[in-house]
Amino acid sequence: MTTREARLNETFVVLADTLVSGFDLTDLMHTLVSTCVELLGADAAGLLLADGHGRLVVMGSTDEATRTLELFELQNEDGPCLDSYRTGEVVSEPDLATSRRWLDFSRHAVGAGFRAVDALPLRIRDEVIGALNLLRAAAGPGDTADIQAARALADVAAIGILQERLLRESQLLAEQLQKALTSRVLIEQAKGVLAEQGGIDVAEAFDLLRRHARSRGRTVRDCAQDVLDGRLSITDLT
Amino acid sequence: MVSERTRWLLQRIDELDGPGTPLQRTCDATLPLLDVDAAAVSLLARDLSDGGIVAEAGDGAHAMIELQLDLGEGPALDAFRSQVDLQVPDLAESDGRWPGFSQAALATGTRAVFAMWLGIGAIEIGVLHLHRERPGPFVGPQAADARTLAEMCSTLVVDLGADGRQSEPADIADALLAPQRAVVHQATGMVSVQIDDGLETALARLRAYAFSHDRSLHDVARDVVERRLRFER
Repeated sequence: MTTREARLNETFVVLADTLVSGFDLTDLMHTLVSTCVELLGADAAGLLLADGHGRLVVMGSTDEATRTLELFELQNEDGPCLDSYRTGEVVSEPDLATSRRWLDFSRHAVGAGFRAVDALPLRIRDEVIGALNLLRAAAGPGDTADIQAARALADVAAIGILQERLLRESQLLAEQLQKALTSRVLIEQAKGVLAEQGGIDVAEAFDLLRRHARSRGRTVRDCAQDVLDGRLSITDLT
Repeated sequence: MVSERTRWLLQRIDELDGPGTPLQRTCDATLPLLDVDAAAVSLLARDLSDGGIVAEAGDGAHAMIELQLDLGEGPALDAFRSQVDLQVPDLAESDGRWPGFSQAALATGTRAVFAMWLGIGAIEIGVLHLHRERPGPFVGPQAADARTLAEMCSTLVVDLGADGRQSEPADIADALLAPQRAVVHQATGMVSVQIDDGLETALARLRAYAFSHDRSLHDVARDVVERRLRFER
């Protein structure tokens, strides 16, 4: 096994590990792009993820130069990453100088010193969540083995990213559930306080509370908290 | 990423092939898988002021949770508070740790109680409560299986919100939480005004009254809300 192969295997192990144990998304993305440059023949690599509006955002780059970052950003209008993201396929161009594709992007890429490009989709089954952009200074097609390895890395990264997203969404939901539980308690307690203060029943107390909240443009929960804190009493509501 | 054992557990749950949601079926499966008589998946508010059963199997698990919420003590509450899994192999030997709860639970014939914390990441959402007439701890893979099943329940509870049928967490809470607990909170509010003191003190008074009159907290609360019972300062 060559050094390159050994190092590549190691990278796969590291990536797979992040899926199982403590997960650091930034770390994962950095590992992915730097491996593309160190082992897979790219001179610069960028990882783009689609945001909520389908806009490709740079999440990791081996090159912090503004010109390079702009190259990634440009592709939101037209470019290999956009094509790869939309089709879910690898999109390659061996010579940007002579190509008639993505005129704006090609011009900027050549100006920044890059002649060849490969864009690999980050996908899980039918869902494409972004693209991995490999840029090379020299014209010519990328090495097939390199591209294949990069695709495999992208697949592993895609799983990790999706997993992290699901975890975040679940956590958000869990927090909202907790909030809903405590809101309910506050509101019921406030109903009791108001009912006793006014000598009315809890249903009527709730009506008054809701009306007050609506007229002030505040949530019932916030008004209930005020009742419990003594800042709002039945006399303020009638 | 799914272990052999987890796969095995999922297959057993599948085999049971009962009616109901995945959460209910997982809850049902805990009975044969962990050799217990009853189980309940309960949401719990962070400050333990409220909770609601979202799935139940066997007899009496619901009552066990309500009992602990009423008394403000019990292994389920401890497990939730500390974010741990608790085993109580024999309540009769629990050293007076939960005097009120133990007495009431033993009276129903329950000897062993288990409580697994439910959460997503570090966010707590509730507890998986199990109990058994026969005393004794978990044996063999049961403790690890209980933890795995608890995690499945956590995911499934949160899934209830994400499945499109109930999109608002507030709706989930309303749909899942027992309406009868509302009366306890209302009574707490009323009593706090009657005795001119804080909510915690008011709740303590209600609990003390229920205990000394051998009545449920819910019944006492209802009397307060329907103005058959008043408290004085």
